[in-house]
Amino acid sequence: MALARAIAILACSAWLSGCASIFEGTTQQISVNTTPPGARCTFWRNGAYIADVPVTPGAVTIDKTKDELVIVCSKPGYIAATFVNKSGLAMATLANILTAGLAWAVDSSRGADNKYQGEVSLALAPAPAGTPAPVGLPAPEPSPAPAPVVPQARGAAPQAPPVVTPVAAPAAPQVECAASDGSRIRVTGAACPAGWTPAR
Amino acid sequence: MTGARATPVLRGLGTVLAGMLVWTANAAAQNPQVRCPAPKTIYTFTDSSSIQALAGAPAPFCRFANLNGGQQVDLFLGAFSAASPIVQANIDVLTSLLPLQVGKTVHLSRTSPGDRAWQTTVSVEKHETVRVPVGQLACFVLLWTEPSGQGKWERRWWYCPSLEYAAKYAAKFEVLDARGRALTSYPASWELMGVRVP
Repeated sequence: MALARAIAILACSAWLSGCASIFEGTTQQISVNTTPPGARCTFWRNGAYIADVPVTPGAVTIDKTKDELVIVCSKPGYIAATFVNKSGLAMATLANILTAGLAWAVDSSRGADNKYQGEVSLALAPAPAGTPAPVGLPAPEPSPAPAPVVPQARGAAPQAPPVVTPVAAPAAPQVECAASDGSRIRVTGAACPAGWTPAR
Repeated sequence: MTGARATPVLRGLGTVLAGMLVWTANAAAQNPQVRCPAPKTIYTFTDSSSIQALAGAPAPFCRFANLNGGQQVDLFLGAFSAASPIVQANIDVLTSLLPLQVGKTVHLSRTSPGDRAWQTTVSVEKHETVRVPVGQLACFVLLWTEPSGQGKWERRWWYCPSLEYAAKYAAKFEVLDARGRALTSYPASWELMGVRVP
């Protein structure tokens, strides 16, 4: 037991922000940041609305359960982003830890590894031109529940706010491109990527 | 060796070499060696993440920056991170997947300092055309299978040579009971939503 406690303390010294939840009891504060800020985030559990952060950045305190927590952030002019905070993912996370960086290092290649955490950071992509602005308040009982999407989980260690380059400015030109293998994509920019030709 | 005797031998050698050249050319035409996206090309995904291609990665990796978190990563086939110990330990094995061909399978292994052994199988599962938000792409499905604890990970990347990146990703983690039945699954996935050319 003493050994386990020592290990926990050592682990906490490495991942400070993730340790609060270990000793906090039955509630946990979850803070949410979005890029850009000013989004509204709603918290859902088992399809039921439980809390919200009216304007990001902000925080809310919720009961901890074994059920996954779905956080949906929306802002007019941006595509809503969803974060699935799975308390059950502790199992998967544990398994990943057991594999000592094998699976983790693969998944974290895009910073996509998600784990139960008290700090959530989401990037909202600009909505394509013509997309209606999201409704401010989601339906009380979403059906179906928001689709699980791998979040941009910020690492447990504090970091500078993420810097996001605008990727789909409404005024940017778009080109339909074709490749010799039959692929066709629509790209943002003045020309097709190397190896692609403009499609008719 | 006289000139009269040498001629048939040289002719035979020439035929063999010509055949090898034709085979190599065909293989390269079907599956050119991996190239990297032009620097500053930006890919966006349905999970709200974005990455930007960078220059400077050592072959066979391509370098990217995660625009959401700022992390920089070197990837092989848009999937396998140089930061992964088992990838680093088996990069020659992984590159033997080139040129990509359906059915190719490699086994990766690594022993950690504590003598714990890790095993992973990577295979080119199939070739298929996938529809994702950005369009329609011809891709190879790369399957990474990895036992983990009482379960296993299955990760699939739809790597598209024309795109020089993956257009789709799906992961499944299963915890199995003693009889091998799946108890829990935590899927995660994303698809390519946008490409921005510099």
